Amino acid sequence: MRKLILTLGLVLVTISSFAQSTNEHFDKLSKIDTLSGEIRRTLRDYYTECQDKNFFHEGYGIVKAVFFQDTVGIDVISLTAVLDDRYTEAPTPYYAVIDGHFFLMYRGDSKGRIIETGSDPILISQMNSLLRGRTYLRPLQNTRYNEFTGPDGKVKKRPEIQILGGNHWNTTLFYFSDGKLKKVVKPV
Amino acid sequence: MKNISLVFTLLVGLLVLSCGRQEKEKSTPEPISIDGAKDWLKSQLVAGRIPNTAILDTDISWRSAFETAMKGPKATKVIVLPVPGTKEEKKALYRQIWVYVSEQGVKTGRIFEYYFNERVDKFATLEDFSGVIVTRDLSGDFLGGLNVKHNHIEGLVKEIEIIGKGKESFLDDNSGGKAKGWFCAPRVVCNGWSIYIGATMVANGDCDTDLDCWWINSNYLEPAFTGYVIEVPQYNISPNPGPNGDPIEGPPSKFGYGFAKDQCNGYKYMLSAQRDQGVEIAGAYSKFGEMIMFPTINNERYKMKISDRYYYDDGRTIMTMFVGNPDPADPQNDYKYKDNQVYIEWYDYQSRSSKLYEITGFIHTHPIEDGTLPHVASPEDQQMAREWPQVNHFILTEKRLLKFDGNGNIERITPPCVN
Repeated sequence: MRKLILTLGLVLVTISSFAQSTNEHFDKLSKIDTLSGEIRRTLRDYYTECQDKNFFHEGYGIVKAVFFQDTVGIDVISLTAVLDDRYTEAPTPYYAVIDGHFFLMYRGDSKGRIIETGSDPILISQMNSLLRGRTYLRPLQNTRYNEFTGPDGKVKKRPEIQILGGNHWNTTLFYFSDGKLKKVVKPV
Repeated sequence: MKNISLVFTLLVGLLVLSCGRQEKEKSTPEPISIDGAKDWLKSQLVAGRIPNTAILDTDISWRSAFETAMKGPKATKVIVLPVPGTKEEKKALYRQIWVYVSEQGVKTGRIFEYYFNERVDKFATLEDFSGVIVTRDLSGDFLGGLNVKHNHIEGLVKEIEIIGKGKESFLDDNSGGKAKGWFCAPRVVCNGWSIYIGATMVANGDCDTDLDCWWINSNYLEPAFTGYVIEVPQYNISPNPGPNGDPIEGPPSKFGYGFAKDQCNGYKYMLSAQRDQGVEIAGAYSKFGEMIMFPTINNERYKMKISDRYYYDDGRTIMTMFVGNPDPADPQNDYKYKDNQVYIEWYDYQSRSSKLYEITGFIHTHPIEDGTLPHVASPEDQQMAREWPQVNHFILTEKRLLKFDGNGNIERITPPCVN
């Protein structure tokens, strides 16, 4: 059985053939139109799950899709809900549109980490244009302060800290074999 | 007779657990009388809020009913209706029904039961009581209880377990766990207090720490002996510190810290809290091997959030977390802190001071469930490790302790207390 088309390795190898479908205004972007039916269904169903579970709000939200082979060579897609413009921190030229929903496509290493391709201001600008109205814009990073009243009644003021762990954005791993979805798991 | 007020006070504190549930009804505050209490109890009976007609018809000794006032600035009037015990009861028992208008202007009824440790004459007074005082709503549902020895409060009981026909035993509240919609307060609520109980109330001692005694029900939390009513969710509060000022050891709750003097106990508390609460549990290692567990208010089944400040239900700060930044230009900072060191400051309201812990690591639990990857650092876990490189990062499951970094590398640690 032929190897799954889905790995972004293949996607990227053949990326030049997709370039023709790219909107001329977005010459840095490449729209992927050759996903298999199984992958399209997986992506579409994941988007619906994110809507159902309120990872998206008010119609805003896109999906980050990382294609990789794990350490034993199994094809995996890692999908994560993206609600705001943090995609600009790791821009990618590849995207897909399924049923009107946008998916940013990345290639990942054997642990699913995005293989970054650098930060291109033009690419980011085009991504912003492409995704305008589909994600929230994050506020500029400003240090926030909180006040605490101690047991002695004195008020202390300190910068706010919050640390997140676990799975806040519905990251889900889809394992494929011979082009068919075989297993779905979530990191926690 | 100067003692009268204090014993009564205890009952007031117990009783005022106001917030009745179904037996409450909105009404305009008005002086309540014995006849008024009778009428109101009848209305509750008609409304089906009192399951047993015998309470009104035969149980209450109406001729012994009396009215008195609760302790506190409002001196809320309360009608006390004695319910004498019966010979059939296995344990010597004395009951009262209290009817009063709560702080919210709601007529409220409470049943108080005094279980003597030893069989006593049913006409014994309660002036030197040893046993358990239990509070119920008018439906008979257990609300809370106190362990009392010679009129001194020894601790709380959190639920009643029926053992055999008609015999009840009391489970000490050692865990602060949930019981029938209630979370009981600290193991020892009124350290050093002397409190007399009963229909003939006598008291002595100085009760100058009123706010240390809390009772919680499904709607309100009230400090015993004061009659104050504070609206809070139905969750546990953290205990006051131990005698030497250390936090009390135990697992975290939604609004309470967890603490362990050694890591093995810390792991045990974290895993038990995860099982009990069904959420990930987060904690921190101190420089001296203690473990501080964060309240679980921010956590969910597959995710956790560590905040830089946590509060008790009543708004007092439990602890804050911050990073040392001895910047002379920052007037809010303090030179005693080390640069880039993570600290947790735990507030001790008993001594009106705080304790500072230098933090060397963060740890959080992962559940082992089908469809999850419990022994892998999630993307957010990895990001946390990247953003907090000055401390170590660990994942604890029922089977493993894992150390991970910001690149997703993971290493199994095998301390003797984790399989």
